[in-house]
Amino acid sequence: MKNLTFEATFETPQVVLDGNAGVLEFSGRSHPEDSLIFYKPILNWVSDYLKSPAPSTRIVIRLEYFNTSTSKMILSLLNKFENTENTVVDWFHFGEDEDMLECGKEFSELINLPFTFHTI
Amino acid sequence: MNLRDMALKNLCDFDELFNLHSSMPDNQVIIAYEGEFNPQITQSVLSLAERNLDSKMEEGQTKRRAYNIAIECLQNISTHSDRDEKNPNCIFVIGQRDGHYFISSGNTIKADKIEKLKRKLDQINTLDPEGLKQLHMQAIKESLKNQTTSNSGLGLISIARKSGKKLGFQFTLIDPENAFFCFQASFPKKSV
Repeated sequence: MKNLTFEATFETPQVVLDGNAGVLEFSGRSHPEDSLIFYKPILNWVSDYLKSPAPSTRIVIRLEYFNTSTSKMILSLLNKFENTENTVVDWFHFGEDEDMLECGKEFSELINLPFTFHTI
Repeated sequence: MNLRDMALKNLCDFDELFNLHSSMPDNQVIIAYEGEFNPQITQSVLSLAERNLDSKMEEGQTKRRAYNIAIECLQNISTHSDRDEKNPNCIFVIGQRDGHYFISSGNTIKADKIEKLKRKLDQINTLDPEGLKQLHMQAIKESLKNQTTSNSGLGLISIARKSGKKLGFQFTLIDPENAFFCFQASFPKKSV
C-alpha cells in the first residue's frame, strides 16, 4: 500500500506511515486547534492498513509537545491496533521530561499493547 | 467616561505609557497579548512565548510545562469564549514572580455557562494528584468510547495536573448575559 507522509509544521508533527515496513512514526509537536482535521487522513490510512497489515507493526511516538485533543487522536489510533498481532509501541521522551514519560505510562494502562519506553 | 475610554485615553498619554512600561519590570512579563484571537494569532502568540521562554534559558521541563499550559489555555480561549461585537477581545499573559510561572487568560463567556464551569473548576481544585489522575483517565476513556470532539474538561484537568497547584479563577459580570472569565495556572520553576 501507498505510504503516507507529512512534513512537520509549527503545530503538527512529522508523520511517516510505511505500510510495507509496518512502521508508523510521529515526531515533533502536535497541537493543532482541531486535531481531527489533521488526524482524519491518518486514521483512514490505518483502517486501510489493518485490512492486510505487515507481519509486525511498530508504532513510534517521539513527540515533544501535544495537546489534549491530539492525545485523543493518538489513543484512537492505538486503539485500532489492539487486536493486531505483533504490534509494539515505542514511546520516546526527552531525558528530563517526566510528564511525557508519565503520559506514556498512562496510555499503556489504557491500551492493550506492549509499550517500550526510550529516552532521547 | 467609561472604563474603556479611560484606558484608551491613558494609553495615548506618554506618562501613562511610561507608567505601563514601568509596571512591567524586566523579566517578569514573558508575554502579554490583549486583543482579537484567531488560529493565526494563537500561533503567533505561542511562537513568541516560546522564543521568550527560550531566551530565559529555562531548564527543559520548566519550559515544556509553561508551553504546554499555554497551549491549553490559548485553545480554551479559542474554543470556549463567546465573543461578540461588543466584547471581541481576550487577554493572555505569561509572567514570572517569586520562582513561579503564572499563565493567565481572560475571555468573555455567556453568563449561563458560569455555573457549569465553576462546578468543574471547583471539582478539579478539591482533588489531589492521584485524584486528578483518576479523573483524567476516566475523562479520556469516556471520550474514547463516545468519540466525542468535545473535551469535557480534559484541557482543564491536564492544566491542573501539569501545574500541581490549585487553579485560580474569577467571573466578573459585564452585563446580565455576559461575564468575563479570568483563569490562572501557576507552577514553581524547577530548581536545578
